[in-house]
Amino acid sequence: MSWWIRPVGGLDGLAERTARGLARRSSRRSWLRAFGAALVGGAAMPLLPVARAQSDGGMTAGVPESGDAESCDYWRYCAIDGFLCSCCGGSPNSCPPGTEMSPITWIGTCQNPVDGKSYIVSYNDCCGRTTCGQCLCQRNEGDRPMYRPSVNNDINWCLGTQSTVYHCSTARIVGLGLE
Amino acid sequence: MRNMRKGNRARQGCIVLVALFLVAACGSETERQTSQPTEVLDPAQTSQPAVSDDGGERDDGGVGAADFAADPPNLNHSLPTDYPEHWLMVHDAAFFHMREGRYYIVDPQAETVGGQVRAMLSGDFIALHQQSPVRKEHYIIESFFSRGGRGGERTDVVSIYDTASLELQGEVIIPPKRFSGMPPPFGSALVNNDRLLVVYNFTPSQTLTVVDLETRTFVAEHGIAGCALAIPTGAAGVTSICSDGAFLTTNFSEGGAKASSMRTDAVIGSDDPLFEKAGVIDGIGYFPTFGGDILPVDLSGEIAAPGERWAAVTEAERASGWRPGGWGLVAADRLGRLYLLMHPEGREGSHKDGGSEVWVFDPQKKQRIARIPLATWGISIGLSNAQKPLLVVTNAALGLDAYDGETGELIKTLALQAQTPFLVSGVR
Repeated sequence: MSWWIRPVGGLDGLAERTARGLARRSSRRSWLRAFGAALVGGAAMPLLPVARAQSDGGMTAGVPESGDAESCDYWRYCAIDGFLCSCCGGSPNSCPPGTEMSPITWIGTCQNPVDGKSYIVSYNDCCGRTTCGQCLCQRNEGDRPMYRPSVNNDINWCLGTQSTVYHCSTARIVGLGLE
Repeated sequence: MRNMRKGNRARQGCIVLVALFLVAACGSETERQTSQPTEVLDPAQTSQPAVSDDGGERDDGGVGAADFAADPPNLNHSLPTDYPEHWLMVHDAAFFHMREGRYYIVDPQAETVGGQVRAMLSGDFIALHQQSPVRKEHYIIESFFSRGGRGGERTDVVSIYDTASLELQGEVIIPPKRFSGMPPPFGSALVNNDRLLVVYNFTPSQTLTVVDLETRTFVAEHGIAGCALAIPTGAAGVTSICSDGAFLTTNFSEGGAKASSMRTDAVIGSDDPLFEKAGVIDGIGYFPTFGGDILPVDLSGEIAAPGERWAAVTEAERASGWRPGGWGLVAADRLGRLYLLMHPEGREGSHKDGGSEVWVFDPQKKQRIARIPLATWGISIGLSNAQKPLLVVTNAALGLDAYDGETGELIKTLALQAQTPFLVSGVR
């Protein structure tokens, strides 16, 4: 699904509540400083040498990896908008137990910082459990308005599934982009 | 349970009374417990007389007259049928608990949360809302699941509420296809003098559901393949924006059948996408583009008529990255002014980031007339429909900041705290 909530990355529900009072008194700059949040698309966070959340899955064969799959800055999430399945019992390419992956979705193109190549990423939603509520992430590189649904991340893509209740979003690599 | 508590109180009272009087009082009290519901106070510990539920004095053997009236049961507030023009509708989509969405009816002039929240309507699973001043009703387009959080059978419903009492007047079950996702301002529309409610469907097949509000029935589903949303157009039509860059206007008969369907040439390029949101002034929808242009679209006739684009930013501002951004990033006031949420240093992907300023335009002159620096970064804006418009900004902390729409002065941050107040608008 694609759920938009904030102008800066890394703000989860807890941070949201904690931040509420502070932000009312703060500029955007101090807002960012206070939470060490990465600017969306701004590459403000250093890449970790190991994809942490992928120790139990999530790797795509043949694709070199770098980054933290529980962080909104992870390279595959360049056009994601929703709760990261990596924080909900799943991984970047798999749904949490008991949920069902949507067969249709929207597509983004993200650059892998390791090999510099652009990969086509399919942001399949996982469905059939109430909203995960963890690791909300919103990035919009290549996102387009709702009248171009195949590249829009505002839509609940729990369509064609047994349940249309949205739980979280994956970021599956499905192809190599054109150079 | 209630009778048991009353019995206990009565017994405690009996203990401290003179024995003979006690026996008489307990005896009569026991009889009353079985015959009528009463609220009993202890005459031995207070000077208050016993009173009945209707506030009248109870005959319990010589106790003095009541000096207060007990709260009556089943007392409900009502709202005025015609809301004050400065009131707001705040949609809390309850992003983290989507089945618990709600719409607050808000008086922003009040100081306390109790004064600001006049009432609330439920809106399950990122609902849509329309308000009809003609029919004096609210319409909530929402989804229910038979098995709650895990789903089950989905039922989409138009819930109809009286604007004054907010009592449910009825509901219309519609095909379970309504658009689900971030709440689009043009996800539904009232047309034909508010007789018809039109709802945008996405399954991902794209259609329109039509509800006749006179008969409170679902009457039709019309295809709009390749096009999205339902922007009210003319007397009885809606316009959808198509993936090829054209506008499609669907007109309806009085009862909701499709009367015509007309499509414009493609006018939206892929190089500078058009936001699917607009401020509407005198039948003209002013749609911002990602890059900072405004496309006026005449929505007053039987077919949408795109006009000529004009720039909302100077070349220097464009070069420094000033762009529109946010969710509810554009709005209009009743004075005919257009408001845009703007951010500097824009880039690919920043179109939902929100902004640090609100720019105000005279769209007829195509001129900016004010820049309002925001005290806190904004992610969505809305305006009251008052003669002195109030600009309300959903800020980055998801609080609601109220600014004077004319001077740009920050008046207050509302006491109301909503989880995710994505959209704010003036009541109609």
